[in-house]
Amino acid sequence: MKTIQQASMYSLSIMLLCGFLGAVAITPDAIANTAPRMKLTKPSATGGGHQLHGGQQHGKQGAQPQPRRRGAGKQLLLENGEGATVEFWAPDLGFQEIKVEGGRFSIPKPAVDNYHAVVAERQQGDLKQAAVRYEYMRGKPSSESPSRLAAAQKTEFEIEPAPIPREHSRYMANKKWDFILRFKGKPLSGVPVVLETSQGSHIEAVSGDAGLVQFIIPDDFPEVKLGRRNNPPAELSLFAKYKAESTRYETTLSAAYYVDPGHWRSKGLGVAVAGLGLLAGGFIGGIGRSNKRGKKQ
Amino acid sequence: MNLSAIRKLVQIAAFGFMVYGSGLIGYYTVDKFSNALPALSCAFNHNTGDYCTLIPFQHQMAHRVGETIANEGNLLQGLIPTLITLGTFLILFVILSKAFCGWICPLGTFQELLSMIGQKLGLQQRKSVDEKVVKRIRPVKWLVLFFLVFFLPILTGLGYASHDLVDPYCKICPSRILTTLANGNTDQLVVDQANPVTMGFSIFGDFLFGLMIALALTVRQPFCRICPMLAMNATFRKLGLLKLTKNASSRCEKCGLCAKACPMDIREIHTEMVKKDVTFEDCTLCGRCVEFCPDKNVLQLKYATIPIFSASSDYFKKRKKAQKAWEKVTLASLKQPTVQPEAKS
Ligand code: SF4
Ligand code: SF4
Repeated sequence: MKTIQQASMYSLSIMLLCGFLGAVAITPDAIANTAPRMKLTKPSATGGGHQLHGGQQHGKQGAQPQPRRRGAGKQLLLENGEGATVEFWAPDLGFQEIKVEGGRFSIPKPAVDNYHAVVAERQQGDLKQAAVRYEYMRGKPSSESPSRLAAAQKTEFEIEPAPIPREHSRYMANKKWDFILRFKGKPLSGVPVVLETSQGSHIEAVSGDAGLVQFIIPDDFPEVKLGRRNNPPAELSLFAKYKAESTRYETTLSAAYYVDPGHWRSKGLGVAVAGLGLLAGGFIGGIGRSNKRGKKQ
Repeated sequence: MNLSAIRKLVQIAAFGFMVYGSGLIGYYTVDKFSNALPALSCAFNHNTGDYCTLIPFQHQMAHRVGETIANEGNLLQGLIPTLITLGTFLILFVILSKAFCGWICPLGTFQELLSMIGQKLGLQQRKSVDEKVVKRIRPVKWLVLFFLVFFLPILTGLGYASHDLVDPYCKICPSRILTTLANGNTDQLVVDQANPVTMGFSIFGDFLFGLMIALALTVRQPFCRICPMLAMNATFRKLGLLKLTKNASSRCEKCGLCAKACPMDIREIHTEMVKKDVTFEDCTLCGRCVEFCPDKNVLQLKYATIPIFSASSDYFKKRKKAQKAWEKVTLASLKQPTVQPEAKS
């Protein structure tokens, strides 16, 4: 009896210890329990459309095409960023300051197309905070590669998308995406990074060699409808903190992400249909061969 | 080394660059070589070295031309991106002409590889497709180009067709499936059940992909015959510096080896007795007809009027011998036990 009791006590303490360690592993102190993070997001009014080529908004299916406002600016929100300065970076690394009132601001019409970066920075005592967001803008063709903008040091502590999603691509749930953590332009390894979504998911990873950190974006859309355009994007943000000498640094990278089209695309059926094509091709080719033999005879 | 062997090497290098080239030149659109390539190198493959010109055309028809007309905007302004794409395409096309098909296109290379596999597996090859069938199939590429690359995207821009028809040709293009699969990405070989339009197009695209693979094992270049890029290239064929030319001889009438060698079954190369420029609409400038022409200088590949490869009887003899030796090597022939000299006696 005593042995059973002892065994139960042991199991209970092991379970409690595991639970405690588990809790630490899943939500380490430092990252999860920070004050509200400064981040750049889209005002919710823009949700519901679908972003093609990173920026152009289309109406719902069946709607008439909207007049395209080429080079039109975009509305953004700076959350928890009172007192921060905001810069708008062009693909050629030129930048300008943007006025922010009440957290809401518009990014100006760009001179050229392609990805631009919005960078917010703030210093409060020994804490330096930064928030970065990349937006695809329309304009005259730019000959600059977005890799230059992504890799450029725009703020001291930064999460670089490696790469930013290209045309015909966007951040999508269930896909693996790479990021590089940089401090003063140099890759930083061994630092925890957290990915959170506007739909409540929370994932953590630690930057590895060359500052690389990978995330599979969670498939957390509560309600999925058929077709990309019927599913508005949600917001994700990556957050990391780091201390160097006597300064604490925090950085956020935010972006829109989309439903995994695998919800309405079947690979199994695709293979089956291609298989039917193979059979049909074999049949037609076979007829050809027997015809030929027939003629020869 | 014969012309076909040189061509194979160029095709392999081009396939590597077109399908995996982003590591060399970069991942983003502006990093790509031209974004208006006269061959089916696919934009859906993120590792591509360059894009085919059909994708910008489709998007521009929908978003620039169609929407400009719908919004009563300035059509000339709406056409500017298309003119830029066309200009880039033409610069490339002038340099290499229809050789983009015969030497560069990854889908063309893949079909040739399948044909080679079919031959090595011992599947009976169709030397030539029936003349009537060839003639019946020829207009299809023009219809695909007109309806799927230009007309439907414009209708979409005008608001008369589903938004899923912005790039209808891409939805059925075998290069999209091939080049993504070649990178281990299975996202394009799917049935898209979002709506009836995507479902219909994806089923057709998958079926066409399977059909092309099976046919290519026994028929030469089955997809090329209906490819809209072939039609696009045919439209501008007079502008290319590289040309196939013919100085017809009286022996041509009885010969016809050139037409038999042609993977696109262009019998007119044989029958044409007057025209000098025989770069016909289906020609891919692969040069096989020149290799298999036994008569000196009758067929020539010329670059800006300078002959760069000409038919000759010596070359023909060597080439024919090499071809026979190559065709003899099949899986079955490799399996056959070697006959020992003693056994013979
Ligand atoms: S799907 Fe075909 S037409 Fe479209 S971009 Fe790819 S290769 Fe070009
Ligand atoms: S005709 Fe053939 S070789 Fe030419 S672009 Fe089309 S698939 Fe490629």
